[in-house]
Amino acid sequence: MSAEPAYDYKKVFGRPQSLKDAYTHYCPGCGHSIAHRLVAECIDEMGLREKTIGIPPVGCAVLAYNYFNFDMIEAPHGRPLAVATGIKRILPDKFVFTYQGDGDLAAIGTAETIHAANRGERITTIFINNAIYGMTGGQMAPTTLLGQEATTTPGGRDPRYHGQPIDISKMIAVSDGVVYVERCALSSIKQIRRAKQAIKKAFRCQLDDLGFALVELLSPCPTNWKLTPKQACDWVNNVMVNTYPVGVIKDTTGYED
Amino acid sequence: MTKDFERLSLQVLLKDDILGSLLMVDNKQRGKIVIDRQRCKGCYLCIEFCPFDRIEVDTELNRKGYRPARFKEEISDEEKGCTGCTMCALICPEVSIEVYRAK
Amino acid sequence: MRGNHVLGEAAVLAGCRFYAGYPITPQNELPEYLSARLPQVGGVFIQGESEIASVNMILGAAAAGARVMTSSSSPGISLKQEGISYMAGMELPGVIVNTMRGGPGLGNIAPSAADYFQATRGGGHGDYRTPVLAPSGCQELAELTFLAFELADRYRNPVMIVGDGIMGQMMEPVVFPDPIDPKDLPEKDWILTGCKGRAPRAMFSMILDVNKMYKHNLKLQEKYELIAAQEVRYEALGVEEAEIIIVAYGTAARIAESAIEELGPNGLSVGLFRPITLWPFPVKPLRGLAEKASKIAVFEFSTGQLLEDVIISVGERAPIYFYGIPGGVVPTPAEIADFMRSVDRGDGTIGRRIEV
Repeated sequence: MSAEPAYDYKKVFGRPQSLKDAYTHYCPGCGHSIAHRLVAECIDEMGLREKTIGIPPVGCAVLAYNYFNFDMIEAPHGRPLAVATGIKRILPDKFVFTYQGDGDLAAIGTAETIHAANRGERITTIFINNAIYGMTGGQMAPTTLLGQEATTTPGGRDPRYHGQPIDISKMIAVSDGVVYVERCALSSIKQIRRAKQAIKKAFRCQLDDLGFALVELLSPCPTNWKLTPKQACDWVNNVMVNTYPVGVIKDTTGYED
Repeated sequence: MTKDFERLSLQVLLKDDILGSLLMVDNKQRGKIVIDRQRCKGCYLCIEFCPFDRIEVDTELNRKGYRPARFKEEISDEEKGCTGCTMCALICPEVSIEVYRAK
Repeated sequence: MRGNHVLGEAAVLAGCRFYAGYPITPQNELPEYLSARLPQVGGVFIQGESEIASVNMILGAAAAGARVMTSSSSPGISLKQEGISYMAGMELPGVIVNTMRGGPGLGNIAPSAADYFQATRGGGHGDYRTPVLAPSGCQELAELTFLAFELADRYRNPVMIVGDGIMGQMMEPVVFPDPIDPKDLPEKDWILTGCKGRAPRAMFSMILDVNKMYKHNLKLQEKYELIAAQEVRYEALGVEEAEIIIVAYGTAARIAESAIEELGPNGLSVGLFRPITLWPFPVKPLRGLAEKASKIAVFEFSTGQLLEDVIISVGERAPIYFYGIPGGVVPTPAEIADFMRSVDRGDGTIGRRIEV
């Protein structure tokens, strides 16, 4: 019945170097922290930390520069991909990525997103889709599901008034400048493992000078969905994937998985 | 590198399922986790996702007013022990969990 | 050489290696010129998808250490205000060229100059300033472009150059200053290049702690006070004994100059006070002149924007007369000479007296 350690233990899981030892402001059960960790692990494992420049969004992750342990620059809301373009064109041998939410990428930043993708900029985008505007308190996002209640869609999203949820990942996949788009979720172990592989693959597209790559991560938002963390994961797994199915949306990389 | 870990953890899982039942007689856990209780925000996803029910809710509050998750150090004869499968750490949004596995 | 081309060539010679912009009349010759010229020196030209995207591209390129430029005309400069405010808050250098046109709204493509408030009062949000340079001919366009990049780097601030449709198109001989190689410029120890060999850097303008934000704003104000103390530029022609001082900038100043010539050596005694920095405005020099002259006359291509800075400078030291022409209508020198005569008579037949 005692708890005496009987073995010599070795550590098999810990904090990646690209993640600072900072206490995050994210809510309990928020997908951002998982996504941050996955990005940081990939940057570490691919040896990119010292040449990385990241651009966080305006959104819950606006303070990401307090959490990631590499160069970062804030951009106006929606503009990370334009800022990233400026940086990457001046410093083509650095690793430049944006980390954006659904409002940043697919509402106010739609033009910058589509055009950076279309130009085939050698930039990688991590797109956190939580189907709502988190930082500002739960308003409708372009990716809010039909019938989903947000503070600006009382009674639920109605296609007549609010339009359909946007699938920006599919939209940009149309362009030849985009070589890889995949959607994963942060709500199950299997999907988290797949997400990490997808992020690595997307990073490779930049390193191998192939083109623009985007990984969309369906992310639980317990606070604004008004669910417990576990319920939020279930909602992603059972409801959100009906509008935003996980899987590869485009892959012209030729990489083997 | 991660693929190696995953393959290893699968192997360990399988091995431990057999060995674990043998080892349970000695009440030893082949894996253990260390939860940073001040960093934990009490989302309890780790509790939901742990395959062996090795995590519980702490009765004491942490500095932020959460009741953090706590590793069950003590184990009874009937229970399977922690195998160091890292599922709790993978789902933990706060990177609060370090996982250790027996060498 | 054409004004818009002068701007482009001067930028490249001054070490600019990144331009992003969107077509808008009357400045299209500038991006067109740079699209060919920048690659010749290993620079980057991007036709951005909008003026908004363009200003954000230069924001990023400036953070990466390059000398950067964007350009547009009035409505497009409105779009850039967010980016300019961010650049000011993050202390990023960059040159923004506004080749002004008629407004408000879509306006027209004629040489109105009604963006003075937008440029000098900061068209974007927050307590910030951008130095504003107003050339009045092609030679000055070249020299002030060099100065703009210099000021931007020295003070880590966005700098504006304002011209108008006439200036963009006029063709005059130019002698360019000596070219600058970006490699010879002083190293910037604050840029983002990847954290190899140093701690990571974060650039941002959001400061949630109000006390820190207070301090940050005071620090910015100190910078602006330094610029105001050191970087005022103006030209004063024939003002020593002048009875009337006409205040004008840019193309309006060229017309005023011709008008003064028309009045002739035996005509009215008129001097020209031409601000070159619209911000910081040459308040003290103008104030000094107002104490000696009989009358101040303001002439601009708007309904009264430069006028307000003149009122601030002059106050009640001398009566102020104003002739403002909006819409891009360009008067002849003869018309302005008549304005001078009307000011002399004080009868308000052209323009009007301003009650301060």
